[in-house]
This record gives sequence, structure tokens and C-alpha cells, in this order.
Amino acid sequence: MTALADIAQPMSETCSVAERMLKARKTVIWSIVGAGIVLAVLVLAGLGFGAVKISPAESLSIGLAKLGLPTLTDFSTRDDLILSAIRAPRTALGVMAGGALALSGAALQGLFRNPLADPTLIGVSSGAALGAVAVIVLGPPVAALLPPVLQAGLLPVAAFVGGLAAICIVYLIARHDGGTNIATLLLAGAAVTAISGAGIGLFIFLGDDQQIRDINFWLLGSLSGAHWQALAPATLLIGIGMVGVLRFGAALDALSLGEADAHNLGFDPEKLKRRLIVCCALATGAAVSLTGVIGFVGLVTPHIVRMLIGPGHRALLPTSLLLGGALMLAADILSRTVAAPAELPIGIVTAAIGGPFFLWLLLRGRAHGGW
Amino acid sequence: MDQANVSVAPGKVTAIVGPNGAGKSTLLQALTGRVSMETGDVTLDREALQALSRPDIARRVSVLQQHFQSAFAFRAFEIVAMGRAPHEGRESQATAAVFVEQAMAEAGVLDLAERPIDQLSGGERQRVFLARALAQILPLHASQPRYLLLDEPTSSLDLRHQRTTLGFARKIAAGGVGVLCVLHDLNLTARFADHAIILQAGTMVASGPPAAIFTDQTISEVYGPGLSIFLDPETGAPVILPLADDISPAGAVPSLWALAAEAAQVGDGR
Repeated sequence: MTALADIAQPMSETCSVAERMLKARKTVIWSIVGAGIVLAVLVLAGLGFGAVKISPAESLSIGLAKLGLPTLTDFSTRDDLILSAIRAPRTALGVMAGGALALSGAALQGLFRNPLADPTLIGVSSGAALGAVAVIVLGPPVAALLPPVLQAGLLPVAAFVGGLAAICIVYLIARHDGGTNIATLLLAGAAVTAISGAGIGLFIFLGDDQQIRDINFWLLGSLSGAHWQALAPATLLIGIGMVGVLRFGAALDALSLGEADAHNLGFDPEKLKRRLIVCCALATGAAVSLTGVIGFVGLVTPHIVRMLIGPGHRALLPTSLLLGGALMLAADILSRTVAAPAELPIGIVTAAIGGPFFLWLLLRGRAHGGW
Repeated sequence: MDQANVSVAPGKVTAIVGPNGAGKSTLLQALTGRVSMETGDVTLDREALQALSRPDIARRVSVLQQHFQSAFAFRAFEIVAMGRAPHEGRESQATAAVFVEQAMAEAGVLDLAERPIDQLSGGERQRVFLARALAQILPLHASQPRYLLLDEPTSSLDLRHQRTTLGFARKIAAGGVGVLCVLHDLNLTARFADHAIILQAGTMVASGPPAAIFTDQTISEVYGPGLSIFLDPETGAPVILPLADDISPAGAVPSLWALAAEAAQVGDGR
């Protein structure tokens, strides 16, 4: 930040406040366009990479053909099948899950005024994990009672309910005298995460070998389970959550000055906290219920965006959403290619890259005296 | 809070003073609707505060908090521009920019515009937040009067900055704004406020021009004995200073903790 400020210094005599504000507004547009382009490139890469290579032109043509439009090039039925049944839902899930996690991370960091906040911190992910693990171990006899249509939905629904239950407990504990104490909220999140961890440990202890493999796979996260039937309800929930969060750009800016200032600027901090937490819980709960636990995307993406375009939430929120989707797809491509034909769980990739990157951010922040 | 009756007049600087824990900040928060009162009510230009929307209040009343914090390294002009948040959707970007620029010019922070807030000194930071508070209630000569509430604006400032900050408050008041200051310092109150309210344990003890209410009797009732009050020969304003108790024992006392310059050379001793 120091370097940027130094370069900007000589400009300050010639540059009026109006020009600066206009430039800031343009930054919002350009960062969204830029992140959108990065995301589009990675979507095409995600659709193309794999055992069968499908070129971007072919991917686009298959999409155009589905819409009944003229195609760019010929493609085989096999490619069509691979793309429609496997790669497209997987890519869609990657974009939505990455976007939901990164957007929630950006919003929660602003809400908690804490650059270390992310969706896992308020208990959503661990609650969802407990729900999923419970179904993996205890589910088979329950699933046998359900019609086949509902059996596949049991795990994501349990994960979603678990995530929502966790955040409800955390929120109720943090609520006191009509206010929400942020410190209590974070500590309650840590406690609920620990309790969920104990529950998960118990189920691992109870599970047989196959179940333990399934549990491990889920806890490390993966986009491989994506199919259209599960995506439809998740899309709705993630969409509601995202739209809800994106509206709070100006409010989050005000809130970063403290709750008192946000109040004096005409916002209602309590209402804001409540709505943001509900929206983030919906979006991340729905995403995690399909992907399993994927760390670091929610934590690191907002930091990258802040480093590139500054802390203003009007630009930060949509850009984090788009870039989070892009990062998730990049990690997925890596996870499919690093150990091909085997597939590495994506959570390993995001943690292996996100962890060191975050350490670098910390060292950089230390050298520059802050965030 | 028990009994207090406070009114802030446009064009005047009103100060709330009183000992620690008298309820000064609580009173300020009640005036903005941040804490609600069991009985009594707050009116803004004869309208009940509860009947007004939050943004509606924010367009007319702005507050400078005691602490200037920002979780992220916003640049100074971005902080000031946040002051226009309650006006969003009611004005163009160009109009907002005019008010932001005007507020920054008034507070003397135009040259800090591009600086990240976390790299400013305490005094600079306060001026940026003052500009934000002013930007929020511009334009001043509108049909409705505007109010600026300052919560202990001088508590962590040196003398020069105390003077500029309260001078700024007077200048804003001269522009037709009702300024309310929570202050600790009675002497600053006597010099800069048109009207003072003394609070003690949640109750209003006195209200009036500082020179009229800062009397020996009132001050010693509120702050206890051991104070000397005299009039400044230059301005005629009351000056109130604590007297040091005479606790020096008879005879010379050997110093127990001293630093002799020759003996305290800094070095590795080789």
C-alpha cells in the first residue's frame, strides 16, 4: 500500500476530489469486467481439461447448439455427452461454490472488521460437515425408508441443515440485550466448530472402512459429485444469499468505521448483521452441502482483491464473487491434472496453495505495517 | 440518566461537561437514538426522533466519535465520501463530489486525499473524520437546520490541535449548524462554548453561558474541593485549575530513583 500511495502523491495537486470519486466508480466497473474475463477463461479451461480434451470452440458450439443457435465448429456426440453430463455441472458448481465462499468471506471480514474472518469461522462449514458425516454413517438405514428420488438428496440436505443449525446456535449465543456481540459470535463459532469436530470424530470412530473413506473424501472437498438435479435447489439458495450480500456494499464500508459510525451514517447495524449472517449462511451452507469442506478460498480471495483494487466493498464484493469462482475452477483443474488419472481432493489443492499464499500476505502486511 | 433537559440551538456551540461517569456520552447517544430512553423524548426540529427514518436523521445530524478507527486502509477521500451515504440515490455523483470536496477544504485535508487512513497521524486522522462528519450534513443553508455532535473531540489532542478542532466547531456553528460538544476540559468549554450544561450522576446541575454557571459553588459541588477559579485577565472567561495538595514532608528527602547522565552511557561497555 505504501508504494501505491507514494506513486499517487504527486498527483494530488492536480487531481480533484470529483475526479478521484469518478475514478473509484470506474474501478468498480473495471474490476468486475476484469474478474469476469478471468472467470470466463477459466470456465472454458475447466470445460476443456480432462482425459478427453474439448477445445473452447467446441465447448461454445455445444452450448450454442443447446440453445438452437448456429455453431462455430463440429463436435462429436461423445464430447457433447461429457460436457453436458459431467464437465458443465462440475464447472457450474465450482463457480457457484467458489463465488459463494469468497463473497461470504469478503462480507464477513467487513462485518467482523477482521481480516481473518471467513465462512468457516462462524461454524457453517463444521456444522455442515457434521450433518454430512452423520448421514454417511447413520444414513443407509434411513435412506432405505425413503423413495429413491430422495435418497441422493439426503446428504446435501443434512449438510445444509447442519450448517444452518450451527450458525443459529452461534447467533443465539452472541445475541444479548437486542445487540450482537462480535467477539462472542467469533468465540461461539470456535466452540461450535470444536463440538462439531468431536461429533465428526465420534462418527469416524463408529464408521466402517468404506464410510471412513467417504467421510474423508467429503471433509477434503470435491466438485466431482456435481449433477444438475442437486444443482437446481442449491443455485436458488446460493443466488438468494449472493444477491442479499451484494446489496450491502455501502453499508459494509460504513461498518468498517465501527458500529457507532455506521449507525450515525443512517444504517441499522443490528439489522445489517442479522441479514448478512443469514445470507452468508444460506450461500455457503448450500455450497458446502454439495462440495464438502473447501478451505482458504473464502479467506484468501478477498485479500487478493483488496490488494488489487483497495478495500471499498462496492467493488470488493462482486469482484471477490467472480474471482472466487475463478480460483475454485483453477484449483479444480489442478486437482484433476496433478495426479491424473487419479483426482486429488480439491480441499488439498486450495489449502496447499492458499496456506503459503496467506503466509506471504501476512509477511507482506507486517513489512508494510498493516493491511 | 435521570433528569436532563438539553436543547441544541442552531448557530451555537453547546457543551456538555461533568465528571467521569456523569452520563455525558449516554446523553449524546440518546440524542442520536443509539440508546433508547425509558421516559422522555428527543425531538429534532419539533419532530419526534422515533418518527424519523435512520437516513433522514443522518442527513441532518452527524456525529464525530471519540475514536477514529477503520478496519481497512481506506484513503482519506474515501472516508470523507462515506459521509454522503445517507444521501445516496438522492443526488448525483457529481453533487456528492462537490460536498466531499467542500468538507475536505473546510477541514484542511484536501492534501491528504490519497493517503491511506492508517498512515495518518492522530491529528490528521481526526481532521479527516471531521470532514466526514461535515460532508454528511452539507449543504448547510438548507430549509432544515443541521446538527453536529462531537464526543470529546479534544481528549487526545495537544494544545494546538485542541485550538484548531474547537475553532473548527465554532466556524461550523457560525455557518448555522447546531454544535453539541461533550467536553472534559472546563477551560476549553469556557472559551469556546456559547452555552454549557453541567451533568452530575445523570442529573443536570446547571445550564447557561459558561461564565454564568462556572461559579465557585457549582464547580466545587460537582468536582469537589481543591480547585481554584479565577477570571482570565485577557478574555474574562473563568479559568479552573486543580490545586496540588501540600504533601512534601519536612526536611530534604533523598531521591530513590535518579538518572545521572554521566553514568548512563549508552553502549556495549567495552
